[in-house]
Amino acid sequence: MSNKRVVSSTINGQQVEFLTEPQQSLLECLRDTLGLTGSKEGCNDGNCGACSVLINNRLVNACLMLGIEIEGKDVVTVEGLADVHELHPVQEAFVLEDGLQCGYCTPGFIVATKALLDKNANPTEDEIRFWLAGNLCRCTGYDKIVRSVRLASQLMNDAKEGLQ
Amino acid sequence: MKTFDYEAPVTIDQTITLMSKTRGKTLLLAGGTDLLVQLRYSNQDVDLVIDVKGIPELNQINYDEFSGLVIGAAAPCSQIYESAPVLENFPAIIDAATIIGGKAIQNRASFGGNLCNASPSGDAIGAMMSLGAICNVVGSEGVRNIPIEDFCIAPGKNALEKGEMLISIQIPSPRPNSGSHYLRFTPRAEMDIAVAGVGASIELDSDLNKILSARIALVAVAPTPVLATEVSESLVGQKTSGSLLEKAANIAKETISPITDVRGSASQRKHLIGVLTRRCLDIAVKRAVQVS
Amino acid sequence: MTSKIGVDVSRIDALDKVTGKALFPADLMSSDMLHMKILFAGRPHARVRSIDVGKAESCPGVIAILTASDVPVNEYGLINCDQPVLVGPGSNKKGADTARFVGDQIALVVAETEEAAIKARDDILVDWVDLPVITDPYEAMKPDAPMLFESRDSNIIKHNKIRAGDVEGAWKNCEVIVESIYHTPWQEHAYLQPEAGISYIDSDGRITVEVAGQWVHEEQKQIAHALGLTVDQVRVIHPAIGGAFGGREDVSVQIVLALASWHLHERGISRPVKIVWSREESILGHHKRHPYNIHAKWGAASDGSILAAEVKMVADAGAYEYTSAKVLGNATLQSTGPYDIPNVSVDAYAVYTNNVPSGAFRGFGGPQGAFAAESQVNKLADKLGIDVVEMRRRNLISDGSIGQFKSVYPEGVTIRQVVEECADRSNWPITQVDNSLPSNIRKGYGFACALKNVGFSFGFPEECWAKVELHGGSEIERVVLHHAGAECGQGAHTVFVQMTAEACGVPIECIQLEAADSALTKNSGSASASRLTFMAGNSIRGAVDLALENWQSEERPAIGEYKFVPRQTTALDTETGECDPNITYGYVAQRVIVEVDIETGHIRVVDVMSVDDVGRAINPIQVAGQIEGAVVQAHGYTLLENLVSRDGYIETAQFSNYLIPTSLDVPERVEAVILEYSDPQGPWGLRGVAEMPFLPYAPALIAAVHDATGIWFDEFPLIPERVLRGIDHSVYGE
Repeated sequence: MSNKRVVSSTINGQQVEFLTEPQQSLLECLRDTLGLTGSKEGCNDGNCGACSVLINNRLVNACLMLGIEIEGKDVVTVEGLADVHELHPVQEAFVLEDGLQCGYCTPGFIVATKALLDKNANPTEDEIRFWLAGNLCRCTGYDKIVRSVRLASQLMNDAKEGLQ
Repeated sequence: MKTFDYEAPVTIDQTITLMSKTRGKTLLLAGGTDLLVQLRYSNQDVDLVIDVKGIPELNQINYDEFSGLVIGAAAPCSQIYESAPVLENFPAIIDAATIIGGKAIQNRASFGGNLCNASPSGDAIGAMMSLGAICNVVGSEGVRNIPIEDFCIAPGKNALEKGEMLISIQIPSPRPNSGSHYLRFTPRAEMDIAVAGVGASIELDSDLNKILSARIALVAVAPTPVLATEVSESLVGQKTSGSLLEKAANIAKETISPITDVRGSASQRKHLIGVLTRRCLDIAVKRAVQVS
Repeated sequence: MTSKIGVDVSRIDALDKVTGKALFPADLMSSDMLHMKILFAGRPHARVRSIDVGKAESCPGVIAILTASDVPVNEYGLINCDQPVLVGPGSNKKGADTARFVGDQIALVVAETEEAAIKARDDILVDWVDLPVITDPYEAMKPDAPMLFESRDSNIIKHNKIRAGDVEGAWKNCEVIVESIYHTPWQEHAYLQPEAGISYIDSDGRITVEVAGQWVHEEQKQIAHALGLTVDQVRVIHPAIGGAFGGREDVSVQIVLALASWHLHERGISRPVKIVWSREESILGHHKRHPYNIHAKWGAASDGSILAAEVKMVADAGAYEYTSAKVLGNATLQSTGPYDIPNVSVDAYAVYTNNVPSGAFRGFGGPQGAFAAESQVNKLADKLGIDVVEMRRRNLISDGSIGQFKSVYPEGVTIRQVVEECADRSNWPITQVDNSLPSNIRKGYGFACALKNVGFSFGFPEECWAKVELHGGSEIERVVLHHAGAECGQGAHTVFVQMTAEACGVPIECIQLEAADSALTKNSGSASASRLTFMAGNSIRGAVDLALENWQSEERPAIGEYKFVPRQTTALDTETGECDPNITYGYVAQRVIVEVDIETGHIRVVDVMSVDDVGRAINPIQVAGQIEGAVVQAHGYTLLENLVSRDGYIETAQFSNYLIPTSLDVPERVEAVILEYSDPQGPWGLRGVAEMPFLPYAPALIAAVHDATGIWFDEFPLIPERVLRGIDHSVYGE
């Protein structure tokens, strides 16, 4: 296995260099090489969204990318949302609205929700459901997740107003 | 997945050279949403994967009235549906770009990839076919323009020769008083593959009641997405009406002989093509009226 | 002192889960760990003549390859040890050389990397002799059918009988008789976390398996049995569990992980072994909800009283028993619903086939039985021209009812209150007509109800242990709860903490939970049968009472250890079915509104009302989550999830072709109504909730489709194609 390549990118705000073989998915690199196990493998073919991450602020499935493709890119995973002292408003909202049960799909939903709210601060229920259709949850029936996203939107808007 | 080499050239020339000098199997990587899954499940031997996302021509989306719309082969769905000229002029393209996968897939999956993948159920292929798209292909021998209806030749097989690559897809500007739509049926609302799909574009006369031209593409009912010329012929020169669309829907049903697979039976597909053709034409006509 | 129960306390695991810190089995890493892959049979019925691992063993990075001859006691099973741990020749178990479904496990490969293990697995050569494949349970029941097990003279695992009253004599008094054959499908659990785990020898020399399961002590017992060890030599720990729904009640990777670690240990290799199943391995490798064929003949008098019910049903148990006999018991009970019917005859069979094994899945035979029973009641009402709610009023059980098992229902029967509440809130009967719909859309309303047992049934031993430590000086400052109950996502650990705080009279923040480690706890039973909150609550109350007594006598820390044993249930009498089947029940009623596109067969569920008597909601937001989640799982079961199995091969083993609902496919509105009629045996009066909202959904939805289209569907999932076929054969071009 002499085929290893060095990849440099920014992951959760930190400059990172890591070794990967070209065929390794970004998900494998994050979990096995970088120890970022927040992103989950649920299907490994882009059908569940449990591995959702942001690449240059765009939502993608880490299982459907090669690790080598993030050379020079900016990656955000669920581990990169909260700072040391407080949760990201999306995380706070999921706690408050009980938007999780087993929690396996939760990192993916939280990352997908952040991507949504960064783009659309006041999504309607239909927009939320449409945006999250690539993320499967088998526990909640989604209603608590949708309520969490609405609360997150409100918390983020409140925070913005507070700053002004 | 088996190990392979990886290159990310930034020009078409570099890519052509890489393809020609690699002895073994070479694959081009755009969004990867189909390719990586295929590599993972088939466990096939591949020598070189060439990532073409760094090539500017493959990422462009350009529009002008004379040359029409040019969609770079690697441009992802989200870039397509966020493009103002596409939103304004090519509703069927928007329809297809917003139903492929979910948001995360749409940020990666490209129309070029959908086309090269040559799936019988390719939604983007159906939409582009109804709009008369031309595929711009480059190889070591030069440039070829392939009409989209000739591009897919069998399930998973396209018309590219060894050493050739798809650069872009060109779609003519919409004619006055025209409208288009792509409509599919899936058991699940999103994140699903078409049991059947219909793309349609319609051009009306200046009085908005007679059909001047029509192109209808049928998806997931043949080894490749197909152009339904009998359906178009039945519409041209006729006045729009419910019974005309019903007749066209019946013709569409008769032109196909779909297969039964895990997603649907032949008879279900035949029935659905009738329903979808009528509904799709109805919306395409309404859009043509609205535009004018 | 404000109450700690009946309030929406945030989940105790929420912070870890929203930040990605929670560790699920696949997240457990160790720098020196080895990786394991399993060679599955890949054929539905075949005997292994020999296994050649020579080429595989010489693959780079391979540490060990284990086959049947390496398993000390080559058998396992939750109820009956009929499944080989590894299929192949050379073990001590008769018949263990035969694979009986595609997911039987043949060989284990332990290697330095997962890729090396896969490469070596693919190099194992198995010499197979294919055997006749039998996938139809009716064929399998025939006396001359090929036997799945040489040692048996029938493929019938279990036959339950109920004989109450005189069914034959009752038909002549019936104004109407409805006879139908129902077919219910397989269902895949599709928990988001595929099976995974890591095993190692702990500092006390115990084989330790960290894995997602539902019952640490049962997993510990099964591992010990297969390895020929005592239970004290085995330890099972549950890290975060990514959903279960019954799908982890039988073991998957537990025994093989332990076997690999034990083998390496004996060779002097002390490195952890990790396995992670792909989604496909998960779908092929664990059991499914049982498909049932249910032949029901019911009759009623002109006033609507149901006089007789005759039911014959056959469950496809698949290749091994798992919990089939127990699921059958529950389906037997459910097949005549929460109704007082004087004359009942039931014959229920669970039968071996070469299909994927069937087993526990939320509802545990209940959804299948309830589908037939509720559909029968709705059809009888339709034939008699009686409203479906009124029909139920005339037949539902109440306190004091005796029922088909000749035993009085446990006190606290509230099905009537639940049905009335659901009818009231949904303004039943619905008479308004919606004129705003397009011509291709038909709207309909449906109603159904159900009961669901809380706790193990039919004499299965039931107990639950808890230990509480009270720390502090004059005041209780800190409470440690030891409890084995599994947190599968349902919120069990959060309500354990709430109940402990309530019982001790201290703030929730004072409670520390030591959970889900077989070495630190005693048996709590499984996270199943809607039992855990009920049983754990009783055990916690008992332990706290003892600890508080010791606190009064100045013991510091004051310790209370308590094993709760509920009222003993009894097994079905083999001839009449007489028994005391269950400890207690929860009750549910649902109203479903659908819109059917008669041109495509697509069904949209517009509105669901689910009224559930949970006795007491310890954490109402989580109870609502259970109701919403159960409704959506039942929604997938009824409309979308179509497991295709042909000749024993599963053709839908991915999330791209086994479709579960997304956020766009669920009912547009689910209203969860929580009722709290105390159960006399429940701690703080609580019952259980996890399963019951699942039960009435399919029959309520299908009644709504009937209301919309005039067609009764006796088989589901109602995938669009089935709906189209039902609506109009001629339009459909047949």
